[in-house]
Amino acid sequence: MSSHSIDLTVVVNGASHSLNIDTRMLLVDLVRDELDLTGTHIGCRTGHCGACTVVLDGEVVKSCTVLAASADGSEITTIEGVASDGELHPVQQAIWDEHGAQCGYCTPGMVLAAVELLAENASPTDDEIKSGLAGNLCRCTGYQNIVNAVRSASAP
Amino acid sequence: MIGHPFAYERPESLEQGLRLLAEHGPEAGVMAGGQELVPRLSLGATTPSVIIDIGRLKELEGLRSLNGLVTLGSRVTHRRIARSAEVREHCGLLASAAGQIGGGPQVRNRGTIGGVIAAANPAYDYLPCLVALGATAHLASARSHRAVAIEQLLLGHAPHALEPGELIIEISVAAPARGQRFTYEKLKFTDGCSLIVGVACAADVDEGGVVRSLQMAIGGATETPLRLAEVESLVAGNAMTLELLDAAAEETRRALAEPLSDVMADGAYRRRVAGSLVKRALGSLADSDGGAT
Repeated sequence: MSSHSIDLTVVVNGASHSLNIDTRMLLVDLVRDELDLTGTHIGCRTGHCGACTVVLDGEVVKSCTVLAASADGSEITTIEGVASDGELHPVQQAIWDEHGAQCGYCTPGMVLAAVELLAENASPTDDEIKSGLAGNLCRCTGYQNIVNAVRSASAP
Repeated sequence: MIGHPFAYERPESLEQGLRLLAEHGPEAGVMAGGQELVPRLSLGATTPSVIIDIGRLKELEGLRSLNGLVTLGSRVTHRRIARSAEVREHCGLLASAAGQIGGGPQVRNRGTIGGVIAAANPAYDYLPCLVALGATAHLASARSHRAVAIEQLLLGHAPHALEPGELIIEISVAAPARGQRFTYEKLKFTDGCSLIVGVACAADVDEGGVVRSLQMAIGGATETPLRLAEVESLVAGNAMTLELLDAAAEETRRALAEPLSDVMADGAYRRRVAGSLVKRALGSLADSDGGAT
């Protein structure tokens, strides 16, 4: 019988961590409970809401749909790794300026999805913005101010 | 944290993966992107004693187009399929469907074509497209290999498409002729919702508007996608007219003897709307070359 725990190493926001974890641990649990990076939120645990979005080896994923064990050796960026030197990322600043956050629960996931969207398409149309954010649910804003924020953070 | 305990294995090679699958049999849960399995583990809907993580097997990540055949490793993600110049050029219907898979870019970055086929969920968009295109799944176990039409695979073993110990290795699709038009018309409440009904078709339409050949399948309406062979033969060889569209819709409704009824829609509604979607799909093939490859 194989063990129910596993050794793994991950690089999160540039810092390397080696841990022994339960095989049942989700990536979102690793980030929040083991590394105390609680900006990554849990909305549903079933891959629907996108509040737990992180960047895994360069691509956004819903971290409740990833076993922590399978992220062994990976590089992860969470919302805490997006601002640099105390300066908000342009997408974060735009969310601030456009009042794109109300309760703020979905905001970290929205920001990471928007950063990937703009990295791949610097000047998206509104439809492309909505499609890029389709994996992230917001129950407050009606989305309009989030779309406005991503548009204002995009290249003219 | 998932409630049910399990061991975790990450094979380094396909051979080792197949050996592990043979060893653990139906007790094993196979995970590639995890988009199907991990939420089911969290919900307690499945309780395997071991997870076999095939997510790094190089043997399953190929993507190539050769001699009129597009071949995709089972671990190729929806994102790669949607963006691949080769798939877009030779198999536009599949690339288009991959880009429409719901749940956002996060799901398309992680989810794989093999995972969708193994899940055999009638509400998944890929399946009618793969059936319309006559795609083949290549399966392997520790003891044998077999190739089977995806339509047959889904029919034979739904809701579990595979035998214990078997793994989807590759999917191959005969690339349609150049200039083929395609469309995927679907009804769902919103992006990320399950499919109510989807109609996938690919066709050769000549300059005079005559449909030279047509491949068509319907998903979401029955337990497994249905190839609409009667509609194909009704339409092929003819120019699209309103009368022909009505006849195709009628033939579609006839083909759906026992449509699914669930919380999203009852069977009678699915049958009615299936006819309408077939008309819309055929109409858009006739009207424009927007989807032409």
